[in-house]
Amino acid sequence: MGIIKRSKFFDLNVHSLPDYADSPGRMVLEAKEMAYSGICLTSLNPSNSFYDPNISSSFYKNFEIYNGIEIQVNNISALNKQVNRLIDKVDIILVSGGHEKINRAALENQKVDILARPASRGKPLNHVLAKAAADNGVAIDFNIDALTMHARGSRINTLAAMRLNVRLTRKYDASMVLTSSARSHYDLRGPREMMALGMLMGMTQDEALCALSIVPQAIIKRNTNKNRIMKGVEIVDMVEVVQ
Amino acid sequence: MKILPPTLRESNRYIAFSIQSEEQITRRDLINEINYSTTALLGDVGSCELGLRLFSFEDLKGIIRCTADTTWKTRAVLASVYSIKGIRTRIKVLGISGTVRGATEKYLLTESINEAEPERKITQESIECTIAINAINIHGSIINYYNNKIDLMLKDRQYIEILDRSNTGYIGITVFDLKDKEID
Repeated sequence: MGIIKRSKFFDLNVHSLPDYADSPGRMVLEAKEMAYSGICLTSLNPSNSFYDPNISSSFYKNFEIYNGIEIQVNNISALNKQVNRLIDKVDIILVSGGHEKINRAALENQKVDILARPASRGKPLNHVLAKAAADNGVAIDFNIDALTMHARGSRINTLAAMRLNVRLTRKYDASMVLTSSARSHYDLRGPREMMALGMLMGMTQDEALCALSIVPQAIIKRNTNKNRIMKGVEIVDMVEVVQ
Repeated sequence: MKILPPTLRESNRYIAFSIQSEEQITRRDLINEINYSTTALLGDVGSCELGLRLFSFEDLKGIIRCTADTTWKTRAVLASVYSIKGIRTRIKVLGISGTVRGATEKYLLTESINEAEPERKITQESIECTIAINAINIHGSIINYYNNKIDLMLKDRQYIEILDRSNTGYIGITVFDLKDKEID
């Protein structure tokens, strides 16, 4: 238990007011009560102005707030266009998957951070896509809303697809993320509850812990690094190189 | 007859939980919903292994018992509760202990002393307020106000589809979102 207590937890897909019913502040407050260290407020509409965490920074002390976008498109050219346009504006880019073409386009794009809900239509990924995810550093998202919101038929199909996705990501060493995709504060779950739901999807306890703390921290660190240009290219201080 | 020796007894864990919901929940409804979600998630065989039993339940806080090696499964069952009788609900696990007394002292009593959680007020005369987020002006009346959190009932039908999308009854905001920063 000690290692769980020491970890920092992040939920990288939380929706708020222009799209869904709770204000950003309310979501932050509820997540803070549940012992999260930070959340990413994702908006669905790219024209929304993004939440400014500096407004009430005194109250939300010791809590990290990031802006994200969840891209929902039907064709590949629109996806690439939106990714290129938004890469400088937001911290984290998620692509809402489900369709096979969109899944593939998102996993082969290095600028995308997370592929959300790849199994939402009951179809699992395959070995080619899992390998592409590992090569391009795109994390595969395991969403708990399949377990909480759906029932019976659709829940069984989605869960079966998720179990295969866990096996594939484990085999090809791609990274997994557990997110809640909360539409109101009633959809948020505590970190240990998220881990328990992740363990129903076939993860081990260590993998679930990793998917909730270490992988999100790595994504945040990668994206907030100003010196990083793209995968493998980074601006390094000349002094450091000489020494 | 001799009682069952301690080595042969089932070893149990006691989970303290609290409930966040839009309205009051009765004990009977909670038990029904937990039974339903256990059988839906794990089936009859899985749910008999858990040995769930609700002990106390007062003021939206309570203790539930499960066997010692199925605490993670029980957490998953509690997390998969979506609504109780159509009322949106979230069950939050406060902590797990080996005895009822430990769970009560550690998680149920201390919180009410330390945080001094004010009673949930249901205002009779609805106080109105307006917030503005992303150029959307939302005007409504306050239903619940507790711990800096406010549940807002929408006045105009213009943004009703926002509530339909997230399947809740009220808009959830905080005191810090309000324009004039004054309530009561």
